[in-house]
Amino acid sequence: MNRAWGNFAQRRKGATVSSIVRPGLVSFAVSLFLCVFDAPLREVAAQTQTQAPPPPPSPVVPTWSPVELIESLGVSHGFAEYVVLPAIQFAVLLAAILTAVAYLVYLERKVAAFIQARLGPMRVGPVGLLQPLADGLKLLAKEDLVPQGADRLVFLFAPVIAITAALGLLVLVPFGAAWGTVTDINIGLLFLLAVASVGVFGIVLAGWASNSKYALMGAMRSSAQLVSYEVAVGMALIGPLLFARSLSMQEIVEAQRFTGLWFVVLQPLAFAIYFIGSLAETNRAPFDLPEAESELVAGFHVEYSGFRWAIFFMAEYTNIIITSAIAVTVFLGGWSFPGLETAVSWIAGTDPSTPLYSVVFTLATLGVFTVKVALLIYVVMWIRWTLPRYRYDQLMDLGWKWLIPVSLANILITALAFLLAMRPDQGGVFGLLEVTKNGLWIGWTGTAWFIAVNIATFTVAAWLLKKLNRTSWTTDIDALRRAEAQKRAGRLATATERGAR
Amino acid sequence: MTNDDRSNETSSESRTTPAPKKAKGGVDVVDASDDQLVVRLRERFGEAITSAVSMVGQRIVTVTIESVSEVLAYLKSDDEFRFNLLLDVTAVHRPEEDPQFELVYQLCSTTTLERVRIKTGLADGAPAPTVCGIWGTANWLERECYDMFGIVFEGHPDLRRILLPDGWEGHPLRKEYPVEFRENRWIAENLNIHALPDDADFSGKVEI
Amino acid sequence: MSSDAPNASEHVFEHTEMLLNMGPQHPSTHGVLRVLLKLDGETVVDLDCDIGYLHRGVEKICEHDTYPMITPYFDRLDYVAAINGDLVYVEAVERLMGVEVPRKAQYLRVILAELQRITSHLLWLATHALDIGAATIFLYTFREREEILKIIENFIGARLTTHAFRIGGFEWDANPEFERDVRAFLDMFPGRIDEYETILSENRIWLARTVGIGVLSAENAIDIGLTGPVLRASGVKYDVRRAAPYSTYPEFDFEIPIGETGDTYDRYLVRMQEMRQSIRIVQQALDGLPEGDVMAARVPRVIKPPAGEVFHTNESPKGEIGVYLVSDGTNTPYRLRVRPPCFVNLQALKQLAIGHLMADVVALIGTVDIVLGEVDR
Repeated sequence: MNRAWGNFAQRRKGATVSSIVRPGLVSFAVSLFLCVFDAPLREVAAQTQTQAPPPPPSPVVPTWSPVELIESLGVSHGFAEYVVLPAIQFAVLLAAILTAVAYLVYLERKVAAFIQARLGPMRVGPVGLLQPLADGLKLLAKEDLVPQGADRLVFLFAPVIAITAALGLLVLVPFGAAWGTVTDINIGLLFLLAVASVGVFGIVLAGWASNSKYALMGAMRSSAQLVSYEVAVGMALIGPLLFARSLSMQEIVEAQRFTGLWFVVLQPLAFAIYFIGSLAETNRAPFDLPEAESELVAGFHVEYSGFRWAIFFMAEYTNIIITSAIAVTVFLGGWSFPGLETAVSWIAGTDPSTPLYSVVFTLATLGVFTVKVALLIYVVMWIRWTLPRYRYDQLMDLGWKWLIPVSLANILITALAFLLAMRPDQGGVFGLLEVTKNGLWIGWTGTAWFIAVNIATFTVAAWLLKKLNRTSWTTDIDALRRAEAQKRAGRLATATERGAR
Repeated sequence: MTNDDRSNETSSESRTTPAPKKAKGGVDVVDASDDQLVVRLRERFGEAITSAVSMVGQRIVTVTIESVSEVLAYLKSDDEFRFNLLLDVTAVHRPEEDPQFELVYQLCSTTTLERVRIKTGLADGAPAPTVCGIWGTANWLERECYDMFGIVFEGHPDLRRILLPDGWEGHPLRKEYPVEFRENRWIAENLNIHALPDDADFSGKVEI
Repeated sequence: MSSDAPNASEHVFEHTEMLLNMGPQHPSTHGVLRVLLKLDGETVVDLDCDIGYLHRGVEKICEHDTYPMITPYFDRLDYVAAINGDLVYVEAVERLMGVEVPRKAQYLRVILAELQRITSHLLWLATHALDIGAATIFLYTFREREEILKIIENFIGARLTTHAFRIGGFEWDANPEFERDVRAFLDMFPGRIDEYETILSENRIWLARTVGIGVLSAENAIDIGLTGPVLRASGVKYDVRRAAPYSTYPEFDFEIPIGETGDTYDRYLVRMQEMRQSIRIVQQALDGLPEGDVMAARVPRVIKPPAGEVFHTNESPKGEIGVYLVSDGTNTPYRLRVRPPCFVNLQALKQLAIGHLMADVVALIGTVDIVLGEVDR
């Protein structure tokens, strides 16, 4: 070996088993210590067992609604509440989202530019702010091509499916408190997940109808990827739902507001799984295989041009907004923010029934939600411009061998921990949390307990899966080489068996 | 072979060919018969080695076409020389000479770092032996030779044109193939360009 | 339908493989390479390269051009490493004519050639990483490549197709700022290589995409005739700068990085290491830059090398580039053959790719580091 390499030989070893497991064990021990042995904390725990939980924060969600305003114009209450107001809301929302999508593209290009030490769009308008407009106009002016031999009807209809599924979900996203959201149904989250998976039909049909091998491969990869990651994403959401005790999006936010804890604190593992899974579901790097430009040119939409292509693009970005919005709602407290009520009361007083309070509070919550979603989307973009792309089999490995087992373990262990943490008279053991009429009350100790459980779950699951998935998780270069050689031989043997060679 | 033998041979060579021989206006051509490699080759192949010279410090061994693949195989497998790397296979077309073609193999050894050039004459239309079985790299190089010169390599696993499109007429590196020449018919047939007028001017003159 | 007519559906599903045409218009075939893939699912079971889309008949044209007229054609073979192409041609002619190039010119040639090697490797890294999906590094490497191109432009007058050398030396001496600029670059560049390696070398996804992909043993690599970093990554210590030294390379102290197993990751490491070695060479050449002329004194106005032949090879960034020059004593070559490293190296793609997935094919095209201008000539 050349000595110029010495440096590498050392560095190439990379992370070892202990470097992952050790910090986990240490933090688990610390949390457990805090939770069980620390005397003052035990005292607090004892107090929470006997004392009734404090009442919910005093300034509450406004009771005034624009319905009253519409009613004053001579419309009946029912019509105002169920037709006029939602129509206005959805119109505003649609306009806002489509603008947001256009500017997300701009933002993506700017973020990419700053990461890549360049400027990005600068020519159209001040600092390129009108670039999305120019792009849109250009795409509208392009010819709408349908390839020869394409299944014309399906080809033309596929983008519509994709965008309808994406935009239809918007009504359920709790952008703000009270009338900041279009509607809230009691199976909200379930409905979101169900309709989101309709979007895959748009992709599959587009790939199939294009009569192109590249598009077909993109569509096949895409459907396999979406289906497998949907499982992990869905199961990751069950953890926080145990704490929210509801599927309604508004009630999930309210639950976090009531306990004063965002569920990302109680369920960091579920958040990580959800976030990785949602990257894969929205076809974002490092999981952008369905449209991997260096292999499949553009994947399922390779044959699309002009505005139909733009519709796919819009659907993709709308999906990013929606998955980020779900993450914000379920894990990051939705539109709530500590001290928000107080800040609103400085401006609009404390009476929740005044129109001023209602307007200020709703706008504030809308702002908080938007900022949270924007930050999350920034992280998504940041990841895209930093990491290389996974290969197809590696992606499937990650989904099936890692995320799904861990999310299953997370559900199981969180449920157990939840049961253990309940008050004895409610059927639990430790009494670290309390089920009240208004929602869950989790004290300091309860929080520490759940964090400890989460870390333990992760550590044990990671250790176990590392043992099980030796080929897909090793930092030893030589082992990686052997594993790859084995895979190659295996694939060749399969191909020969099938008579492909 | 003893030292004595070699010195004898060297002296006898130097008597017959006064070194350095100088072609008219050419580079110095030094006889390389006393080179160890050449001596070994002559020992083994005898008359098959028709000449061995050195030009600007590079050994050139000329071999008859019949034994060229044997010589090359020997050079590759011989423990002493180990010419394991075939750098290039190409040809030179000399229409006025007989044989018209000269096949040129550039050999190199990654262990001893020695180099040698093996040449062989080849008549127009005569098949040449392939060395694909000896070096995998010869596959494409021989295909290129076929493409450019029309030399047919017997036993080649996949002798097709490589750079020019299938169905191209002629072999461009032959001397009779003109340099300023357009295959109008081929272009019209295969690239669908019919717009060229019949009296199209290809002389390169530009009217201002 | 008659009874002996083949059942259509049976016929379709008889074969599990799919024929996929990749290129010549494809974002990651590095030009106009066309690869025909036979896929079983996503597994590559067979592969055929269709080349020649960029064939310009350079060898034929050269037979009709005078010697000084030929140099620019060598710029356009490997157009991302034009200086290395120039160098091998002028050295071949000089060797045949017996021209003694002044030492200063030799040193300047080495500096330029090594800087060009860095630009070529940077371009390779950019496109290779882009193929694997790491888009950002593309811009980083282009930033540094631009610095070198500026240095070359200030000296030679052109950025890419440089026509840097004349037979016998240089047309003019280096610009006064040349040394300062190169030193500034040398100070800056090692840190930048560290930056690239921070992004890639230990990145889990990068490892998963490169380690164990396209393994080529040393015997295999030699059998296919590979040269350059691709050969060295398989563990063969063969570098023309050491094996058949040309110019003033024997005077410089540098190492030949080699790999262990010859997979894509090794090829990546070897090239990264080669950039560091190139910096060392440039540093030494700058420190020891002699004074004097940059053009040989006795180069005739009309260049007519004596009748004879020479096969001269250089270490280009892609591998061993060679010129087989047959002169008949006139002012045009009788036959000029370019031994193209990319052409020969590309032949390895089939062996490398079979059994891997389709996504690996783009990584493998990248790792072989081809330039179609040189493959097709």
